[in-house]
Amino acid sequence: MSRNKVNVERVMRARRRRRKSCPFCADKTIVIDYKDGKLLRRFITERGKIVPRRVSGVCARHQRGLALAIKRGRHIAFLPFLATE
Amino acid sequence: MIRHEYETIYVTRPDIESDKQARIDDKLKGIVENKGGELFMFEQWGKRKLAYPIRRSLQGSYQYMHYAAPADLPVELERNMNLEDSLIRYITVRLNENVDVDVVRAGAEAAQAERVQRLGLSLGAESADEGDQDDVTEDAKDTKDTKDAKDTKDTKDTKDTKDTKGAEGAGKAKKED
Ligand SMILES: [Zn+2]
Repeated sequence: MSRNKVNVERVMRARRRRRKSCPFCADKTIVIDYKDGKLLRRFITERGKIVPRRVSGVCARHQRGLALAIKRGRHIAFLPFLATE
Repeated sequence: MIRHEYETIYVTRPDIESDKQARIDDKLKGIVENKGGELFMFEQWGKRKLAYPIRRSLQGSYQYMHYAAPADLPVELERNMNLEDSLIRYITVRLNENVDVDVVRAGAEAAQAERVQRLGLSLGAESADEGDQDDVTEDAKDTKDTKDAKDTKDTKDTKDTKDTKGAEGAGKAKKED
């Protein structure tokens, strides 16, 4: 019982720690631009996939802009589609 | 006449002859200027490493145009880009709808300065070196590209127009996901 409780607390603490605020909400000067490969690469995995916002902490609105930019960036070959190891 | 603000990036093969590159550039610039558009900026971004090989090329030569034009002009531009064998990719994005061309023109230089700064571009020289990317040697070029299934059948459909639909516009998501 008490063991269970400890676990729950640990999970909650971990969750709270992971809770990030959206970097684009925090800094309104950052432009989400498909031409900015350097910026966008921070939001794709090594395999080239878009990092889910539950991991990156990006809000829904900015995630939409990010996803569109990443897709455009891939098309023009600033970003990979998928890293084939 | 209603005109929108656009940008188009097109990528040519890295080994393209310079006169052929010049002919393509002139033709596309001419289309913008002669079909009711106004070209604000034309930029040579130079050779860059491609994030994946396109038709055996590991690098591409990037050109950027910033212009205002009626909505049918990008279509005409794309029709012409599709005719060029050495042109391996392009994208057109509508930046703003129904703009006051005088206002956009007045801001074009500042916009360029911001773009150059933010993206770390080095403009001008046809073979300016890529920004933050690694160098690639040409010799890898003929070793069968291993990657990118989408690339093997690209001739027609890689060159499709990414939306001309404005920032929020649903770009044809294609098969990317
Ligand atoms: Zn946000």
